[in-house]
Order: sequence, then C-alpha cells, then structure tokens
Amino acid sequence: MLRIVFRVKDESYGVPAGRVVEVIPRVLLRPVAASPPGVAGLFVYRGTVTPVVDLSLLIAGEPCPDRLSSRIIVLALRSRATNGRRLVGLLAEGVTAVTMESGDVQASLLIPGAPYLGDVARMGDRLVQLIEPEALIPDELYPVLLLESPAGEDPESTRRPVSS
Amino acid sequence: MSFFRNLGLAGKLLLLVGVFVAVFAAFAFVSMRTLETVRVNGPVYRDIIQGKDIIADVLPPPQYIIETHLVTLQLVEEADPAAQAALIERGNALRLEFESRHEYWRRTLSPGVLADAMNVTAYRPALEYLDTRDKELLPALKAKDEARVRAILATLKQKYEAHRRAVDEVVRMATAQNAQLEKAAEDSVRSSSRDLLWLGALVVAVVLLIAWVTGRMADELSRRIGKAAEVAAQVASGDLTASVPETSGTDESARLLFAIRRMTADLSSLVTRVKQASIELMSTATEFTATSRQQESAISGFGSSTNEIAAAVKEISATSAELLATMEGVNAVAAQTAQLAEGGRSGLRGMDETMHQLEQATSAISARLSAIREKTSDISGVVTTITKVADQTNLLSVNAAIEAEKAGEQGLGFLVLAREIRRLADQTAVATLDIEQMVRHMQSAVSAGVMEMDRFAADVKRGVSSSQQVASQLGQIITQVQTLSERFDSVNHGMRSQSQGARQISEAMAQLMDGARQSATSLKEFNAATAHLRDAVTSLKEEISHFKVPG
Repeated sequence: MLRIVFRVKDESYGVPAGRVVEVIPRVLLRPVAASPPGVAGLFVYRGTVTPVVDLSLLIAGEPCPDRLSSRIIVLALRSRATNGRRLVGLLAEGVTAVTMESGDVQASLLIPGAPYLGDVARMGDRLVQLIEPEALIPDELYPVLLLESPAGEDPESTRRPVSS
Repeated sequence: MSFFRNLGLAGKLLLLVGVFVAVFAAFAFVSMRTLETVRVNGPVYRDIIQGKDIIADVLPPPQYIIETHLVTLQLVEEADPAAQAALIERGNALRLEFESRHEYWRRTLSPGVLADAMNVTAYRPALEYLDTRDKELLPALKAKDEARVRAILATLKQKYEAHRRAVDEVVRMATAQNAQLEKAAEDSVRSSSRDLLWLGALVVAVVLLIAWVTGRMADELSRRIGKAAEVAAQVASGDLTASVPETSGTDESARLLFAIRRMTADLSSLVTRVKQASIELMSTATEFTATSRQQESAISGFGSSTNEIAAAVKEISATSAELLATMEGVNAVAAQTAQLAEGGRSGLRGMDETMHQLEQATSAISARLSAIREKTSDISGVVTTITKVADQTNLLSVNAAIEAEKAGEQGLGFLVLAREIRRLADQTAVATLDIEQMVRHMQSAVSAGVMEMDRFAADVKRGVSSSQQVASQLGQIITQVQTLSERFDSVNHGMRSQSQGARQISEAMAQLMDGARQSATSLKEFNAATAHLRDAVTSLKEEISHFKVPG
C-alpha cells in the first residue's frame, strides 16, 4: 500500500496514497475567524472551497515553516453521517516522497483528544505515525466546513489533471 | 698846588673871594676907561665929527640945489652949443643925485618936524624948480626965445629962493637937534657912570656876604666831616662802639653822618655774624673732617666691591663665551635637522605618489568585485530557477506515483518511472543546494572582499592625508628650523654684544677703581684743605676778636 510521507517538527508522519486526490504547492489561504484549532484557512480547489488543516499547528502548536517542500495534500474524506465525499487540505512540510513499504505496526495508539493520530509503523530505519484523515475534522464541524459533494460521484474514480 | 690842596675849606673860600674881587675891580677899571674914551664929545667922537664936517664943508650939498641953480645960470649965459650940452648933462646928473639922496632921506628920517621940513618944505620948491627947468627953460633955450627965458629964469629964481629959505630952516632945526642930542648923551653917560659905581659897590658887598655865609657853612661842614672822620678812624681801629651824633637835615654831610652810623651798625652786626659764622665754620670744618674720614672708608669699601663686580663680570664674559660656543653647536644641529626634514619630505612625496597609485588600484579592484557580485546574483537567479524546476519535477513525480497507485496493477511500471523521476529531481535539488551554498559562500566572500577593499581604500586615503599632513608638518619644521637659525644668529649677535658689554663693564670697573683711587687721594687733599680751613678759621676768629662789638 503506497503512502505519502511528510514531516512535522522532524518527526515523520504518513497518509495512505489512496485517500489523496492531489499534492499541490502551498497557496495563499484565506483565514477563517474563530475557527477550530489547527484550521489554517480556506482555498478554492478546482471550484470547491476547501478547508486546510495545519498539522504542525495541530500537533506542535507552531505554524508550518515556509519551505519549498511545504505542500498541501488534498484528501478526499467520506462523511460518516451522510457518507458523502468531502475534500480537506493537509498542510505539512517535507511532502516529497512516497513509499511502498507497508511496515509493521509497532504500536496501536489511541490518544484521547487527538483521534487523528493512528498507528506507528516502522519503515526502514524510521518510525512513521499514520494519520487518520477522517478524524482530522471534528464531526460537528463537518457540515460547516465540508460541503457535500454531489451524490453518486466517486472521488476515487474521478481522474483529474494535476495542477501545475 | 700842594699849598692850595692843604688849605682848609674856609681858607679856600677866602682865597676864591679875594681873587673874584680883584678880577672884578680890574674889569670895572677897564670898563670906566673905555666909557670915558668913546663917550659923546669924547676924543673919538670929536675925531669922527671933524671928519664929517670936513666932507660937509668941501662937497656941494646934493639936497641944496645951489649948484643946479649955478649951472642953470651958466646955461642961460652960454652961447656955445657944445658947452650948453655939457651943462645940460651936468644938470641931469645933479637931478639924479638929488632924487636919489631925497629917496635916502625919505626912507631914513624918522617922521617929525625935521622930516617935514626936509622932505616937504625944502623938497617941493626944489622939485618945482627942476620941473620948470626941464619942461619950460630947456625948450625955450632951444627955441632961443630970449624973453621967455628971462621970464622963466625969474620964476626959477623965486623957486630957488623959497628952497633956500626952507633949507636954512632945516639947517637951523638940525643944529638945534644936534645940540640937544649931545647934551642928552652927556647926561646919560654921566648917570651911567654913577650907576656903574653903585652897582660895583653892591656886587662887592654881595660877594662879601656870600663869602661870610659860605664860610659859616664850610665851618659847619668841616665840623661834621671831622666828626665823621673821627668815627671812621675809630671804626678803622676796630672800635665799633663809637657813637655818631644825631643830625637833623638832609644835606650831604647829614647824609654822610647817617651813612656812617648805618655803616657802623651794619659793620657791627656783620662782625657779630662773622663771629658766629666762624664758630659755625669751625664746627663745619670738624664735620668735614669726620665726613671725609667716613668717605675714605666708604671708598675703600667701594674699591673692594668694584673688585668683586669685576670678577663677576669676568665670569659673565666667560659664561657668555661658552654659551656662544653652545649656540653654534645648536645651530649646526638645527641645520642638520632641517636637512633631515627635507629628506623626509622628499621621501614622503614619493610615498604620496605610491599611495595614490595604491588608491587607484583599490578602486579598480572594488569595481571588479562589484562586477563579480552582480555575476553571483545572476548565478543565484539561475540556481533558483533550477531549484524551482526540481521542486516541480518532484511534485509531478509524487502526483504521478499517487495516480499510478490508484491505477492498481497497471500503474506499477509507471510508479517505478515516477520514483526515478523523483530521485533525479532529488539529485538535482541536492546539486542546486550545493551550488546555492557555493554561490552564497562566494557572495559572502566577495562582500567581505568589497568591505575589506573599502576599508583598505579608506586606510589608503587616510594614509595619503596623513602623509600630506606629515609633509606639511615637515615643511613647517623646515621653515621653523630656518627661522630658528635666524634667531640663533640674533642670539649669537646678542651673546657677542653681551660679551662685549661685559668687557666694557670690566673696563668701566677698572676706570671706576682708578676713580676711587683718585677720589681717595683727593680726599686726602681735601683733608689737608680742611685742616687749612680750620687754621684759616682760627686766624679769622683772632682777627675778628679785635673788633669790639656793643652788647
């Protein structure tokens, strides 16, 4: 299973490549007032207003440093309530590599207050903690932040050209 | 003459009066004799009258026309025309003489009876006679009118008679007047002689009176003068106590006595003062002696002082000579300093040129470095572009891998390709990172170089200005050293003049010592003179003690 690997404060994290719509360069975000913690702002991705979560802000409490490798990973989420498809951006640095290594799950962690942090797997000589994309946005915020995509449209089957 | 000189004043007066009386008597006698000889009816007077009478008796009188009448009668009788003409001529001459004499008498006679008789009563018939003769007789004669001549002649005779009577009257009057005048003269002479006798007696009496009065006065005068002489003799003998009698009046003798009295008083006070003065003089002479002794000691002290001063002046002279030599040495050192400064200045000038070249070189280097910096920024732009390309490639490969994953089995090959592409992009990124770092190093090095160059250029500029400053200071040193040499010259001059002055002072000191020696000898002489003075004052005191002073 292919995974996208990135860094937050020198530690490696990963998301499954099957949930990723596209990796795009960092764009200017429109901030949202009184937004929940970790939400960096909104931007328009191919006609859809998409919220962006800053992982560095969420995990380490510091905004993501402005680097070339700091990129936005656009994920397609499935609503638990409506089972509709929603898009969310994940801002992180070091988004430059993919890996085929599945790795052995070394520890299954369930940290209260941080439901998005999943299992820790050993990949080569480093430990990579997996991110649960669905847990990034709290349930009550889904209707607010994530607009429903039209029903019947399968994001995974939709092939879109990569933006430059 | 000695007899007259030794005679007393009264005797002299008596002698003078006697001589005067004798001379006066002689004068009176001679006057009387002369008066007697020349008086009217005196011998001389008679002689003169006699001479006049002779002339009057012999000559025909011009104012009495008797000759004219005679000539007229002859003319009438004369028949010869030549004789007639001579007679007419004679008649004219007589008329001229008559008129001239009449004019004389008219002028000289004082107006009176005699003058009337002479100039009117006697003259008028005579004039009528002459007019008748010239105007009537002579034409009648020429006409040979005998009858008329007789008639005119009768008229003429009448006129002549009238004239003759008048003349007789004049003669009578003149004679009477003469007698009267002679008598008056006689009386006058007689009374004058008597007056003269009286006057002579009076003169003799007055002279005798004057002689008596002057004798009295001379007696008084001689008495007073004798008193004055007596007092003067007393004063001469040294007795100033003699009293002079008080005199009244302001005549010469009184003034003489008064003057002698005053003289005596003045002399007495003078002698008193002289006595006091001689005492003071004595004390002064003693003081002189003491003072001169003090002065002698002072002069000997002065001599030693001048010796010391002379030694000090010699030392000053020697010191100034040494100073002179030192100044010459200093002068030489200053000249060397000036030369050295000149050398330093020329060296600095060379250094200045070098500095300028260095400055130009540094600015050139700076320009090159700026060019290099621009190039590196160009390189940096290129590197940035490469980095961007690598980044895009990486992104592309990641997205390709995601798409390949989604494609499943069919996308495996594509996944490998994407990985290769990503690795290539990573290598490119690393290489560009290296290049970027190198370029950054180079940029910083160039920046440092530029800064260094700037600092160096500033240093060089400072060095240039410093060297210029040093050059100007050296120039100042040179000028100051040159002026120093002039000052040294003036100091040398001053030293020389000072040494000369010291020599002059030394000579002056020697002269001063000579002077002190001379004044010491003079003081000795002065001492001797003071001793003489004391002797003289002593003798003066003895002399003065002869005078007896009242009080």
